[in-house]
Amino acid sequence: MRVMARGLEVDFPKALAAAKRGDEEAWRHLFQIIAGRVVGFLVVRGVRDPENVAGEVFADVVRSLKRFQGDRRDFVSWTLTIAHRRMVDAVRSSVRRPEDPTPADQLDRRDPVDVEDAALGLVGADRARHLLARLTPEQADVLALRIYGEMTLPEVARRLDKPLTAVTSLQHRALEALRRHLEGDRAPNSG
Amino acid sequence: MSPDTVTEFIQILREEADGADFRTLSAPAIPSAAPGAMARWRTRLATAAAAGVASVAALGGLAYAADGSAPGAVLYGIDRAFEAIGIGNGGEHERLEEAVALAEHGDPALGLEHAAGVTGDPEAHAALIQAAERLMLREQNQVGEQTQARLQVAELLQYMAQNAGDVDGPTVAGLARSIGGDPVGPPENVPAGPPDEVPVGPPDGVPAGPPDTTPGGSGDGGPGASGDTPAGSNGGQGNGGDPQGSGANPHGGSR
Repeated sequence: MRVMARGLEVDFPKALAAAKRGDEEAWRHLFQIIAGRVVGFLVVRGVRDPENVAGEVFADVVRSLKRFQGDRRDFVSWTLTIAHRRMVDAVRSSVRRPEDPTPADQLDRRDPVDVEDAALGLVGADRARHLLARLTPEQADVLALRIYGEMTLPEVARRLDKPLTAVTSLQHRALEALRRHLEGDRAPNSG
Repeated sequence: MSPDTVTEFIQILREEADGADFRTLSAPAIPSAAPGAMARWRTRLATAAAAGVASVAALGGLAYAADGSAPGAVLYGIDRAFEAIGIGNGGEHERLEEAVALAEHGDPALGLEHAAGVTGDPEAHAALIQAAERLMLREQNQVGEQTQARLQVAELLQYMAQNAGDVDGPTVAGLARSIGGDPVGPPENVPAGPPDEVPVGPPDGVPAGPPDTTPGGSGDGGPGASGDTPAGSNGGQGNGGDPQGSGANPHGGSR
């Protein structure tokens, strides 16, 4: 059913209530649910210093946690909404100050694809992330929010403040592009 | 293999995010009351990110069929893929209404693709995707006259929406095959591969006739949808509706 590391599903409501009361252990539990999602989202979306931005996101979450209500999925999508907002801010400010070092480039320079795997057409998470990062920002937003934020298309549309048709269309084009990349990478000679 | 491609793609990213590499590195230094904690956490995270978040290989790979993957393999099933990992998309009825809305908003191909995510019939599924791809190619190449295709798409989607939950696969497949025939396009847009997914249909040239067969009414109006005029004005090789019922490959791509 749900693809989820074991242990993440443990009694969310209880953990949430306790975390709101300031229980460190409960907060740690909530944090584990979202930490990887936020990082994954920021990395995929090409944020230059994901670690700092993730820190801002988590700080926002801590600050606003008392106001949050909902289940685990709501929590994830709420957090990713915050992550998206922070990502937009970060991109804006990095356009203004382009002198930052770029960890993302370091990531890109590595070749994560094992030669044998590549020959077999196998792709790991590194490559999957790279493929997502090659989409246009709007397309990547849609897919990343769906994947990491567990949002439905209507939810993505609301978060991005776009019409549902536009978002569906973006998803569609994103998948089309993914397919092209996959095929191009797989068989560079038979195009 | 088709929806699995997308499912796996999503799963791999999701598992990575929920996996030990992304999560545990943050555990020892959760942002909390202590101001120093955040800084420590940042450092660890930076290290991990710069290292490319190693050991993802353990998650296994995405297997892309090296042969015979039908066109649109990645396209279809996105909604199912999301559902498979626990993201609901609303019911079938809702999705079909979205499909109708998409088509009405000027994107019939997308409407078809969206509808394809709903049907459980493999033949109908493939036919819808292929019809969507034909329409996309035509649009990209600005070939042919779109009005008729739009009407056909609207009709097909209406049929599906009205019969949500009880859609007749062959009927949908037949209607879909009659849409946007006469595919034209550069071969690179069409992945080559044997169209192994589609069972051979009746050899009628399923042309895009005037939409006189109301799908809701004629239950058996399936693949043999009537009409003699080939779709589009330029007859190509006369395979407006793809006589073999394969429909997977516009001729440019096949060998």
